[in-house]
Amino acid sequence: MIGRLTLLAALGAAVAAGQLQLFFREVPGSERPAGQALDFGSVPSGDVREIPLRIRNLGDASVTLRRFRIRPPGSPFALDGHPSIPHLVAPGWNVDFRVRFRPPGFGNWSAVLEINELSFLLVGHSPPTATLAVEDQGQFRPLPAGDTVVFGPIERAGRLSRKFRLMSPPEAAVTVTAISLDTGPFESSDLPRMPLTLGPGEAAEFTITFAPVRAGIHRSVFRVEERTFLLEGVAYDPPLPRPTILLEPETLGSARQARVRLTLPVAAPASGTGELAIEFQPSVQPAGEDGAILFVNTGRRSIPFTVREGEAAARFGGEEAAVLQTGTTAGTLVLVARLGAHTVRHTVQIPATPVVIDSAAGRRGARELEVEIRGFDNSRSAGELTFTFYDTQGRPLAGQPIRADVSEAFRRYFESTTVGGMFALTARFPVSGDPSLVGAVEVQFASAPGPSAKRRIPF
Amino acid sequence: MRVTFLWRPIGLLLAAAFSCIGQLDVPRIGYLAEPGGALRPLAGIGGNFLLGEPVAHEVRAAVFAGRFGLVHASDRLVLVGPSLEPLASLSGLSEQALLAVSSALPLGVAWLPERGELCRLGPYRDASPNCFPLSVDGAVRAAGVTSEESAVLAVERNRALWLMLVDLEKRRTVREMHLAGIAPPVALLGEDILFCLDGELVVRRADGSEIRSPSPVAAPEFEPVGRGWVSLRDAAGARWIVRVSEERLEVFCLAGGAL
Repeated sequence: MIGRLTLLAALGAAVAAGQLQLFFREVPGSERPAGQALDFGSVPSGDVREIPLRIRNLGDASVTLRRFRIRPPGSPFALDGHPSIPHLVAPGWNVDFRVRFRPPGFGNWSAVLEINELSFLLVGHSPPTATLAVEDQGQFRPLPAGDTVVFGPIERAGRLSRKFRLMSPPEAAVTVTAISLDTGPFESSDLPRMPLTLGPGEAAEFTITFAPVRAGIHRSVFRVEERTFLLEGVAYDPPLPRPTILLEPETLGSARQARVRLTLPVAAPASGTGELAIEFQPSVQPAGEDGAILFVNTGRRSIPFTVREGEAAARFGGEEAAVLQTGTTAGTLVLVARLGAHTVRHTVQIPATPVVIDSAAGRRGARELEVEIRGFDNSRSAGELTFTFYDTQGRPLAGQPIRADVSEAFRRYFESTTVGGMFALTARFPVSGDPSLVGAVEVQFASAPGPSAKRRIPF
Repeated sequence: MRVTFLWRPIGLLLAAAFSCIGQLDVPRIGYLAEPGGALRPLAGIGGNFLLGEPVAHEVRAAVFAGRFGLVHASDRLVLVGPSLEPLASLSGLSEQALLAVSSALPLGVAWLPERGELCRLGPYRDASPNCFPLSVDGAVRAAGVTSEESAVLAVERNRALWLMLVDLEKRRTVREMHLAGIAPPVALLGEDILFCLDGELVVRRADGSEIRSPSPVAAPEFEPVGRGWVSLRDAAGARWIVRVSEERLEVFCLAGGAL
């Protein structure tokens, strides 16, 4: 196969057309007249070399390009970016194109570029070189210089190896003097020692392994003497394990601040971020809005969290637990954790309870007694309110207890607020006698879940 | 929304009872000044709090107790009522001020360390604030109001904390006592002193009795936000709120943490 020179005898005169002239395109805005022969020089087998060219109409009349081809067909020379014919070139105008030389094997190569009546000899040489091939589905596929070999995708911290082969042509021995692999996530422990002499048809195999330590697209360069080959690997983080939601305490009631932790069954193989959210479905009417159901860390019903590689618990900012408020509405509270492909739900019932008095205070005025009660009614069913007044000796006063139906007032209040079941009730009792004789009052609410605990409030 | 209602009690209270007046409202605690200068209303009960949208900005410091508050905004010091209505004010106050407000009276005091003056703000007596120089040996760490005529200052001197009782009428210190076993930071809540010791929050009463609760932070910044409620903030910005009652101290988380 050595010396495959196709010399075409019938080269036309370079300026036979008189008006068209071929130029080399060099830097932008610069051109240099081309001769009758275009020499592509020495190009290793599998490599490509291009020459940018320009055909210009130097005459005073338009020229129609009717022939624009390379002969013989199937040669290692090819046109690129050339116009479809026929193509009209106005006086002074030009057409740019490229001729590409890609020798399929070593030897001398030639062909003819024909543009209308003009003919140019294309020549090129390919020295005997080792061909690099990569194993692909059980077969070795030759690689042209500049080609990209893709590894993966694989999980980060995984390893993926591909076999490569350096082959000499069957007709010639070659000596490879240098191969190298850039540092990075691609590595090889069995690269052939240089110089490597391969007899005709001989081959040397080696392995390149993609071993990424982080997710992403990784690139490297493998060089065989002057030729370069791109290695590209894609690595992704391994999937995160399914989290578990832990509540402290496990059972909740209204007006509680609970801690929420997210744990993983194993240490996270990668870092990631997620979100924990509260969904709430009230079980009472009128439920209204309960703006106090939230994560105190964010003041919202959602909170971001992070999972660090090697840790088996999520972090909420710098904390290992988020703090949520349960609000003051009976219903179903669902915690929803989203991490990677996982969505985990944890449901907690907030049971309806009797009215809870959180704090209370009594004040004596000159002609009245004032009682302030703060608490919550998570069932929205407060009905009767009972006051029992005591004297300073702790004895019930006459005419006790005093009962009041507060259901309508509470209904209107709950319909108008966004604070859930919280309330502050102030009751003023005008007194015609001596208020200092009253020592305390005992208060009790009645609601659908039952009577509240009695609260004795001193004056 | 506030709901007012009447009911006629069944039975008699004392000699006579008439229609009683009831009022339902959001359980308001007070107001909280944020580091960015926003003043936000705080409502809630133990374990269930809501911070409202800011009602004022450029607030440098604020204290609230009961129905009254003292707000240092821009260069003004304003004593406010339950609806934040101004009751008295002092202008031209561009320096730092240590604030205190009475939980029962419309009375606030401000210690101005750069001027060495104590100012009294109230809607009564005369319209102008009542500022007077006060000789203090040490650094004032906290201020409090104990009555209509008296204020207290917690003063750090020689690594010890002293409580100075100031007669606002006589405009001078009338008593000084060593606060044994107490180190700043402290908050003066009327005659009670709130401080942190050995990982515990401690309230020391005037009679020397104490109530304690584990503290979530070693050296908190105290900010009275309502009657019996004090906000705690650590250096990272995480916040808690303490309820001080006769029987106990309760600590809760408060929105606006370090996340």
